[in-house]
Amino acid sequence: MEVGLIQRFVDLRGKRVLEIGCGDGRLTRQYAALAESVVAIEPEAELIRDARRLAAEAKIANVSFRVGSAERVRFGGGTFDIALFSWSL
Amino acid sequence: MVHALERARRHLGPNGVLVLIQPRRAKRPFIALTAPGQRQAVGSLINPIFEPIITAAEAAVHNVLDRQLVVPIGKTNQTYRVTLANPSQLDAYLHTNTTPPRFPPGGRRRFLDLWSSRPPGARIQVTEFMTVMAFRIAP
Repeated sequence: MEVGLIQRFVDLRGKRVLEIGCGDGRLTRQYAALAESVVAIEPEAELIRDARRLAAEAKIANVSFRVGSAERVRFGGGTFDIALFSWSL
Repeated sequence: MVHALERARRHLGPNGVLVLIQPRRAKRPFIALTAPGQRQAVGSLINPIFEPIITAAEAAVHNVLDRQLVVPIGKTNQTYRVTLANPSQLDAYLHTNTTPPRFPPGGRRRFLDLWSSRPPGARIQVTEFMTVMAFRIAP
């Protein structure tokens, strides 16, 4: 559902996505196959552990799950095509 | 929240897009019991910190729009429904949120009373309401 709505505005295919507030990766797992790569961050370490486990079970290999918040995350400028706040702003 | 948007924007390349998925201000998750040919409304959930969070998020969006850091692409409201097998699954589903909604006073008892007298094949239906907004970073 959410992926379909996102795709109304931006095509996820082949894009580099930064997802902020990924939780246990529920949404991430739905669109990861479309994207070129995903960095998904979440402040709660326990949820990141769950996200990594569930993504591995789903054989998703193009997502990097990291503990962090939008305010503190540091990447090079222009690293991503899409920044997605999933129920997290 | 403004800082979160600003930092996310900085990580985007040319023509980068910000997408926000938010709960809808005026709608709360709604619980019902469903069975073949039947739907029994239970009621809406509450979340006391919900309102100030939405207000702050809207203020952050207005801030970056006013400063012309982003330009709107579009906005849509949507309803979706999740069907769950039992109250344990409902609890697990709700706790996937960092700040899970909950039943209002007396609501959980009513829900469990209805569940205990459920018809054969009954399921729990959660209706969620969300808004998706997209913005392109300003050149």
